[in-house]
Amino acid sequence: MPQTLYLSLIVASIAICTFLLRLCPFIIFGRGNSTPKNVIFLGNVLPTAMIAILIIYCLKGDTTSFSPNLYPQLISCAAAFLLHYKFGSTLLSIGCSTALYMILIRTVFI
Amino acid sequence: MKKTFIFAFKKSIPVMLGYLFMGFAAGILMSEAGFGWIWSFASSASIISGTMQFIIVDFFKNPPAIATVIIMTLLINCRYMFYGLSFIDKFKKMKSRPYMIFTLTDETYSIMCAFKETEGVDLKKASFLLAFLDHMYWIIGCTSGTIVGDLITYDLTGIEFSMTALFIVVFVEQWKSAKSHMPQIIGIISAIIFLFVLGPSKFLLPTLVVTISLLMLLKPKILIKEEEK
Repeated sequence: MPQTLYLSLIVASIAICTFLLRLCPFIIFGRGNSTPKNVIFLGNVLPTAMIAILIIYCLKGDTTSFSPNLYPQLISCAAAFLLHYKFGSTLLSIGCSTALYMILIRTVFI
Repeated sequence: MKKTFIFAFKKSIPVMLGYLFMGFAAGILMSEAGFGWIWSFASSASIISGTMQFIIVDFFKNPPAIATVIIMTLLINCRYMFYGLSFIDKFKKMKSRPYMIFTLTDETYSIMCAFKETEGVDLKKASFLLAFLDHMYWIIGCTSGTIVGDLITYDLTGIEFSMTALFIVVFVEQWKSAKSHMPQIIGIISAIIFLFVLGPSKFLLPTLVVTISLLMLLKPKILIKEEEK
């Protein structure tokens, strides 16, 4: 399949799935049924677990191979954690840690 | 009508800044990956999800099987299933209901939750305007990011780390506001274990299955902690 078509398929799949997810409650629960407690519980905890998993997902390529690229990432991750824990500014945390990573891969870890 | 628009616009200002910046960053990543602004435009307009907009760049670079794309989308965006619960009644009487459902994001959701009755303001129209403005900010952010990214000739290698940083920011905020840290700890440990056992391409699905199972098993303990004052 030519690349453009496949990428369009990817976008379409994501768009349709996301819309269906947003539509769910209006279809399932629109008739006045009450939401099962387990569903509410998962709705609260799943996003938090998901983000934790996504962080590992971002590092997946370099982790198992312990590639040289892993260490600047870990250092920049630590920077992001500390900056955000201390100052709570999204812009500062993302900006500085990304800048740090970009500098590290050009200077210390080549 | 004018008062309603001003009301909606003022409420949307925090989102405007957030979406323009975050969309711009995602747009730059798209450009760095070698894809044109059309892709940013089409994906930001049709998907309207910050996390997915970053992950889609990853998907474009290394296209996975469609089944993987679908599963990841369902699991990452499953929280959208719950947003609608609060608005089933409020959206019922709106002509723009499909559009309101289509554009329901974390930010639009939280602002609409906080809407209070204000004199001279039609809250239904304001909700629609808010959703529309947020949608526009997002599209503009992502598309302009890619256009600007294409114009920058400086080597921006490494900027894709901003996606990891974004997730870390969200993680820290969730950590600070949650009473029980078990969901996050379960997620991290499961992910690391399965990553080493199954490798980068196979670890995600088992991680998610085990995480959900453990969350259900530990539900009583988590709920006890959450209810502590």
